[in-house]
Amino acid sequence: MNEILISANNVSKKFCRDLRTSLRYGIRDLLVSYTGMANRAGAVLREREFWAVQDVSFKVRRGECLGLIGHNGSGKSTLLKMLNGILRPDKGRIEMRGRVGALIELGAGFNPVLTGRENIFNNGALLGMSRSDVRSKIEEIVEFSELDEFIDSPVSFYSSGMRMRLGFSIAVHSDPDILLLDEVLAVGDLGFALKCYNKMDELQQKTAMVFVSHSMPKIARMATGIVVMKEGRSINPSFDVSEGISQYYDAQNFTPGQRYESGVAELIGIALRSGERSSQAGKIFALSEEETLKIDLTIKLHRPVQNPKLWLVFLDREQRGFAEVGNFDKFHSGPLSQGLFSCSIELERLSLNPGLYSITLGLHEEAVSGRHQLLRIQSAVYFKMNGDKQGWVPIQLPTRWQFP
Amino acid sequence: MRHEAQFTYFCVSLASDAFNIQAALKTSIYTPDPLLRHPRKMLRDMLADLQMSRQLAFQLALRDIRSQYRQSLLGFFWMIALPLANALIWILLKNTGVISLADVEIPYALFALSGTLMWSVFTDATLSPITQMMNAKSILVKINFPAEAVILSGLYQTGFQAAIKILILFCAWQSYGIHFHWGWILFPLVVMALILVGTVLGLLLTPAGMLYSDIQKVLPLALQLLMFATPVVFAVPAEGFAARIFAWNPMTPLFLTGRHCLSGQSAGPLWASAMVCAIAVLLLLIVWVAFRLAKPIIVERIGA
Repeated sequence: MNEILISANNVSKKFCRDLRTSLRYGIRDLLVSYTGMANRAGAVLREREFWAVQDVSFKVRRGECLGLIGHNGSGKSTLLKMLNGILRPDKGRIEMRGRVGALIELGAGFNPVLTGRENIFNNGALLGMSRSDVRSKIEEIVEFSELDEFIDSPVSFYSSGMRMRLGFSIAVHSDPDILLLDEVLAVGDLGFALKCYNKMDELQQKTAMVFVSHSMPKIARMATGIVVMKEGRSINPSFDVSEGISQYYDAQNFTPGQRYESGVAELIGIALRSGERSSQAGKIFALSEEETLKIDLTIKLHRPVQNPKLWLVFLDREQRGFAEVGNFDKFHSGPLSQGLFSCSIELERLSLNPGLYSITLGLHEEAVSGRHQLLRIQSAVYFKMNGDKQGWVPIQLPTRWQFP
Repeated sequence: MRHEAQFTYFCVSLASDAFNIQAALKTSIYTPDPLLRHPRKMLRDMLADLQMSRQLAFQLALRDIRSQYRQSLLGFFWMIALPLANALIWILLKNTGVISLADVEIPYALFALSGTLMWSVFTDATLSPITQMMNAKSILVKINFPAEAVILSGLYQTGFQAAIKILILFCAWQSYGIHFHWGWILFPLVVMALILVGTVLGLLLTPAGMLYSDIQKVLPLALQLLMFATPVVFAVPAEGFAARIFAWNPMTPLFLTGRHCLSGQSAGPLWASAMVCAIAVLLLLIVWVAFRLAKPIIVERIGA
């Protein structure tokens, strides 16, 4: 096993809800700290205070990446700031071994009037690099950031993506033992994001990482363990990645998304069925892999539709479509008449990974003047897939393996 | 898990390296324990941080000086514009007879110019810690680096500006026919003493000043008042209430010594100045400790 670089033991931090009270407590804490006595008010909540992080413990070894997930305000960033030594814990103990590189905000401390090159020196110095360190790495930094011709222009002329590239490039070239990342790769174009991930893969072998993100695919890609934060507490004691991701999703509210109804068509009902079981209002329909899923639709048409096309898209929890059903016209030809229209779609053996999915549906009319949307309902219905397979993409391909 | 393979590979290939790295790793421990409980460790940390800060402070000072003057046509002139204008006003007031001031031993223009320039060094030094910390607020809450670097960078900038002011004073003196003599070597030391006293005062007010903006607002006003209790644009009154205030003002001996160094007439109240410096050094150590204790609390309260 590799050595433990980060260890957090029962770490807690409290904050105050109100600015004036907060400042008053600040002055009081200040005076107490001057006496050298332990701050008795530190371990208990005073009026208007709350625990932003409570009793969180974990260890990260070199080569591991801890994913830190949770909803907004669940204490992730506070925890990260404590690991970085910016905030002191009110309870507990944090031990950080080695040089810490933090990408809490890329390009913090950039001066807009100065050139990119000058800012590399400043930012590098802030991250603990000496001038000679920076000098020996500056070519690499510039090359990685892809800013060659702009590097001697003032940073105020840079686009936000360019600034991010420069910030990331400096931070990863500071040779950290520990890397703290706070949702920094949310910006930037796809090409650069991929480059960043490759760089992080490369760094991961040498560093202990803590990675905050709201993007579960990214977490699944990077993390070797997960801390799920909820109202300041860690709710995933096993640190297991798949379990953590499920817990994160389970805490979300899933409601049908945006409805678009043109006035020509309206959705009366959508129901899921499997064998004898059918979906009930207010409950998420659960399905296992061996079962056949049937979708019953009822649509009301206020006028006849000449060339109808009904389609379905399957979405994962990130609201990304991964599969669709578009063969309506193979089974149905001719116009739909005014009034109620019902149909049933049968899907055999959906080989999806366990998780929560939703179905978006729509109705088009193909006319001479073009395609008219008559109906579109985002995530009209949710269903849950049960099973013991674990994976971080939705589909399990049914395959046959051969071993010659 | 996905990384397991990488892991094993890594364990094998780096096992020997890992051992070496382990020995050299610096460990930081964060707990709620009061820092003053371990004075020896604190002192060690303070010196280590100061050591680490030097290069960073230089870099930050360079950044600030460059950016400040890059976006301006007159550039460095702005550094001395204010004290120069201040001196001019007083020279005009005196020469036109609007106000009457007691005569001074040296030409009044030199008296006023040296006074306002020295005063501006002092006010720069006083305002610098709090201004620098406020400007660094956004990085203080995002990057962990020794805050001493911010203070030190302000000190470097004040020092840089002071050097230019000293040169200007030398030129002014030269133009009145007083040439280089031993006192001019001593004069920069007096200016350093002014910076020292200013820094102590400024650093003392920084923790509270970062929490409550009132202090930043009232400070320039208070300094303005203090100027009239210091021999900046007029000489020390001979008697009365004002004389007592001047006598107690620690800045008085520094200004007197400074002027004497420039004119070379006599040594001035050297001993009193030395005393002021000694006390200031002691106080600096204390306010530095206070500042260190305050830093995490301030960062927490001004947060995000």
